[in-house]
Amino acid sequence: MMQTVLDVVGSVLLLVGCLMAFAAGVGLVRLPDVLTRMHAATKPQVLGLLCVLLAVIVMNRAWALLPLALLGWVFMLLTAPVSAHMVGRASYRSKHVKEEGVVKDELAIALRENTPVESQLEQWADGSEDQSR
Amino acid sequence: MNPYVLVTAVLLLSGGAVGVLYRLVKGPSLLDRVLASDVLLAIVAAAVCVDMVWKGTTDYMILTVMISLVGFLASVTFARFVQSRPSRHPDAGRGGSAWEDAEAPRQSTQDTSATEGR
Repeated sequence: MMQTVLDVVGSVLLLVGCLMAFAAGVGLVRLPDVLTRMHAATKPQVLGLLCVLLAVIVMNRAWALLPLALLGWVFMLLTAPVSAHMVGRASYRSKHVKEEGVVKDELAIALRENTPVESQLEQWADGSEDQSR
Repeated sequence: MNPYVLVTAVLLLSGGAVGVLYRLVKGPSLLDRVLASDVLLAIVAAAVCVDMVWKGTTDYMILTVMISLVGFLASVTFARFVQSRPSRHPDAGRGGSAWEDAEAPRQSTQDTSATEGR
């Protein structure tokens, strides 16, 4: 009885994780913009990975590997926002964001109004330039 | 292990990978391709997990941990590369923002250095 319950739970976790990967594929094909595609890309990276890792542990009854799986998931949780931030910033600054798809663009407002944010950004850009040389 | 579950999982992963590969080939900009390769890596990690369930082992668990550790390096590298390069994308929807002024001298100096290097 217990084995059946564990099998069903593991199967559901596996299917949910793979469904996330499928949803990401569909989203990457259907969505119109880099930012909206980034929204679709996050699904298999975070929730999908957690589901399939837990599915492996539940199906193999390898409870001792639960900390390792959670460690891998936490690493993905830490590194996925870094890459998403860099890709989003590069897409904005190289003007890959379609303007009609943006509901509210507070960064453009701040840049247009020449607020102190811009001087901060210029300082930051100078710093990054020195760093890249 | 129910084989139908495994077959369904593999079919879902394959469908997702096909969509990702379509975007990787067709993607209008470099950032779309970077994003698609990132998702493809996540799908590969999920496929390794499905393989572990199929074979009944946990030997490749460390592989998924390593994938999640180093998978973000490529997209960060490409994002910095795209950012330091002038944009000639046909879909450029946003003209005349303040980024232009802030970035213009930096891009021109990088352009000249790039052409001198060739």
